[in-house]
Amino acid sequence: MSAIIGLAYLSVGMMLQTAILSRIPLINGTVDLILIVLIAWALQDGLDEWEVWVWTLVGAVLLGFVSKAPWPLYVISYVIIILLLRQVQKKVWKASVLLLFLGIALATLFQQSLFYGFYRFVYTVPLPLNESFLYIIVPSMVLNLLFAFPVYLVIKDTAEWLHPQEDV
Amino acid sequence: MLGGATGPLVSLQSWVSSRFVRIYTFVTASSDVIGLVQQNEALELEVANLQKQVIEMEEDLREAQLYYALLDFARSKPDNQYIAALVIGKDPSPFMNYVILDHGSSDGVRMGMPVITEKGLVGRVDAVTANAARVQLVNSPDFAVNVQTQNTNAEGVVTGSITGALVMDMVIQTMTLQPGDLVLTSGLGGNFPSNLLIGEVRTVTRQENALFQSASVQSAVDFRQLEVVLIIRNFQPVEIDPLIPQEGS
Repeated sequence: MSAIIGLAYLSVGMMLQTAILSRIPLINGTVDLILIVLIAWALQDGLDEWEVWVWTLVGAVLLGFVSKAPWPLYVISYVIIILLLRQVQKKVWKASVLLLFLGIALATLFQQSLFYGFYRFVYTVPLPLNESFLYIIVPSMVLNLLFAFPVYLVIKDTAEWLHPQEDV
Repeated sequence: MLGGATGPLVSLQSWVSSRFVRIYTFVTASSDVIGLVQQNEALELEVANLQKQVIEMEEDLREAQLYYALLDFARSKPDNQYIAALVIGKDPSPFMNYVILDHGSSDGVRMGMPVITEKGLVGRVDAVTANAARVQLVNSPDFAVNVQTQNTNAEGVVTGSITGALVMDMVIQTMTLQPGDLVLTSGLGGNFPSNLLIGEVRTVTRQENALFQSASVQSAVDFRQLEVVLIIRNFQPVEIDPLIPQEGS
């Protein structure tokens, strides 16, 4: 059930992202809805590990399918982000919302830097570092932080619906 | 005597009558108010429906104008065969400017086909699935196309950037380049047909000791408002990679 809900959420999220949100940039940065969904999901209590990883892989493959960037890049970046987040979450008690914002800020920085490096050095696209940081990475981070809490609430409700016994 | 007796009766009669008329007026008037309120609600609903229809018709009209413009353009160049496609999405990565179209290989779309609107060049097909295609936009940082200006025939290369601005570069110093010049594809390299409009020269940057001059180009196409595009299906890009000498050979 969790996997089906995840597939549905991530498919809708990808559609929203490609059809609407990517066309509403802040300077040149855009929101990464899938990243926010995956981080919000990974921060929920009482989830089995496989649930987190199924969502992560589905999200990465979906985005990789439509993007110019190769899908392994999405898989690698999302897996590293979620892996680190899960490790931190196990060590920090009840700090989900704080972790959410911190995680999204750092994850955006990490992921966009990874993509920048890939385009710059593998595809040899002339991307100025300064402009990339100011016009893409920072605005993307701001947008991701703006969307973080609403998405978190939806995902939290979903997690509680899927695992009602965990609320007690 | 009789007159004196009927006087109070007439007064009473008129008092009763006037009270009846007032009450009757009040009752019928209130029912009219209820009727008016209902009528008002019905009219408001009708107005709302009509406004919705007007908005829909304006949207249809705008789409029709868009299609007519594309149709006019297609008719003005009868040598080309076109596939019209809707833009249904944009690449999620903000570094690159790519859009997704609703037509794919089952509709005859192939990699490398040029994509245009009636205003000018949009880009080229970069990847294709059965029912969709991804298009690399002219303003993407990894895009480059050989161009020439319309009047002065100054040749150069137009490239995109992460801000979406277009730059015409590699123009030799002896060529004349001035604001207002129209920038067209030259056809060199074989990736695009010649004479597709890209934009207009805005500002020229010329340095005495530089090998080339460059210019910023205002794109003819508004990439934020892309809705419908035409794919030129009968243009076959030339594969020149095998002709490029490899390092060490």
